[in-house]
Amino acid sequence: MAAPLISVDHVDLSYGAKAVVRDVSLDVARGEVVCIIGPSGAGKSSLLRCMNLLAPVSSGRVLFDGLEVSPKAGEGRIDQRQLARRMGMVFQHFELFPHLTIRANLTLPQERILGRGKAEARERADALLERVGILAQAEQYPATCSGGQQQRAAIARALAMDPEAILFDEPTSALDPEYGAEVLAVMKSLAAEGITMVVVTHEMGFAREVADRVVVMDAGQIIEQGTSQQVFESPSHPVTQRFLRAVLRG
Amino acid sequence: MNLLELLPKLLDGLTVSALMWALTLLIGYPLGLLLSLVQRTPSKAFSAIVFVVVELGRGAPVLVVLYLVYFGLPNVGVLLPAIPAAVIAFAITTAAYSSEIFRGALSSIPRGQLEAARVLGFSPAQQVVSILLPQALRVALPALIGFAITVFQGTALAYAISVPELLGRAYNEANISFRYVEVLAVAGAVYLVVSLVGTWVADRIERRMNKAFART
Amino acid sequence: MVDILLALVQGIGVTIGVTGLAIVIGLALGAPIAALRLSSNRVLSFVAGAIVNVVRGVPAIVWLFFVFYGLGSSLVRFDPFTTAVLTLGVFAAAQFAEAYRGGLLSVPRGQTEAARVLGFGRVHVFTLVQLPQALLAAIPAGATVAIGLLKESAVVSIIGVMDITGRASAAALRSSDDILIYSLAAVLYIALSIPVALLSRGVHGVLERRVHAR
Repeated sequence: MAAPLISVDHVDLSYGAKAVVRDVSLDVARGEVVCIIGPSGAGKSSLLRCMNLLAPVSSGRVLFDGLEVSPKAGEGRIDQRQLARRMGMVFQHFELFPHLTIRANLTLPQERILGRGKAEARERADALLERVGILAQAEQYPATCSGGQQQRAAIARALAMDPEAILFDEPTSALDPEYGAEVLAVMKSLAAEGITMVVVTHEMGFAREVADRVVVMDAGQIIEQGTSQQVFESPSHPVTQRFLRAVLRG
Repeated sequence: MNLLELLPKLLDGLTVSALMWALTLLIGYPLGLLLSLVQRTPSKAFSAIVFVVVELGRGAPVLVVLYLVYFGLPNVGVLLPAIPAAVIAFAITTAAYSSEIFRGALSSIPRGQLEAARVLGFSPAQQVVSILLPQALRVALPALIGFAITVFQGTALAYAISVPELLGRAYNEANISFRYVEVLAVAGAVYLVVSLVGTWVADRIERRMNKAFART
Repeated sequence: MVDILLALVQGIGVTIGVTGLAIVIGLALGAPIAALRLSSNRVLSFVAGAIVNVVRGVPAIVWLFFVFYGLGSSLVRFDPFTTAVLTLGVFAAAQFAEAYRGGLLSVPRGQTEAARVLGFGRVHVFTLVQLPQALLAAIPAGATVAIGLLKESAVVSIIGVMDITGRASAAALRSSDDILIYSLAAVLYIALSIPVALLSRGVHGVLERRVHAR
């Protein structure tokens, strides 16, 4: 079996005195779509963020393509800048840069970080905007776009860096259901293309349909994982059962 | 002497006031921005220094700072003419006050913005220049314009060190003509007009900005 | 240095006197002005607003000159101290009026509506519901005004009031220690502002506990 693309190895994460992620290990294979679900405060977002150095790990390591994810570059290590070219992230609150147009949100990182020329960056940006269905909004500022359009733009921004993997931190939690649907549709098409995705989500329908693997977290630990069929139809852990009952009821 | 003869003389004074005002802002605002950026570095020593400078600059009356620069510096061998001394004193005060404006604006930008920039691969310096500053400066703009009005009014203090600015010229003319009330009223009116126009401009700019760059 | 300090200290009483009296006048005068600004009568609110804008739009030192040299030579002759107190008092009133207004505007309309619906009359609504919350909100702004007045009061030395700055200027004439003199003067002003800041924070804390039961 090929080596995993992302490997979380016995990781602990604390905010001050509070332990938020406790001795968690998780491997994500290339091309796999992993959905992390669980009750609020379970540490899902924190686990996600330790994969790309947004949250500092207090013990254990995180590996990307065999390289240790670390703030400092070096032999056998990969730092934030290098990681940025290979793994992107989509945030719950979109985090588009409000002082730039939608198109500029995509071209600026390409030009500044990847060193692409203006024409190439623009071509790539427009192709991606078309792909996620918002080319018409290219010259607009984020504030004048709907939440769904903004999040799709954020996905396009992450794609513009040609990443091998994308982390999604509750991408639809801040959206009205109608806008959430259009974002999930884009994510579904990405999954079909083979991009490695790790998604923290409350959208059980999406997880069920698209995930190759579902990971359930509670109180900082992984309590259960398996295929979406295994987890949704025959959950074994009582917390999972209780959580799914509460969530799927509404 | 009537109004028509008075105005050109006051205009000379106004020019000096405007010159001091512009130089004060040109020096004071960038200095204030620098102070606020230094305060954000993890270095405790730098933060402490900035804190002291800002508290002194904000806590001391401008007039006292003015005297300190104009009368005090010659004691250490630095002889400054009145106008440069005034500009330096005003700039120090402006830097201190504006650093607080910048500080608030910088910290109002959500952390998520910088995280998104980090994840895209921007270096810390690039984050500040391309993502943090453009947004923070827009946030700070209304307060900066408002303070700029205050700075203009503050230039009147330069009278105390005999700078021929608006108030000084007005007082001179009033002494000659003995028409104190009228002359000083005209001078006051000029300051008032500047203040009203400035406030109106600041309001318009703030409103336009709220429309264009509102965060969702 | 001690003798310089002694010379400056004599000015503290005058500085506190001018500032304190101006604050008192400002607090007293500012309230009715704020009330007028918020009145439903268009004319009254416009006039009150105009007064505030005019007073704040002209630098304090210009007002001082206008009153002392202008009105002072033709109308009434006040001594420098009285002129300073009266002029700064009006200047303070305009600023306190803005602080009051900000405080009153910040009381959520729901509060007033709830009180009316419960049956409270206009007066009670004001004294029991609006005023406490308005004061709470206005205190920080009011403290800023007060400290600002303390620093602004330095300009009265220009018309001859022997406050801290006035004493400093006099001392500087006699000696060559200008840096030390003016630095000490600055430190004195800063030191005087500390009790004001502490007091306002204390009062704010007490009020907050009573108003918000925090």
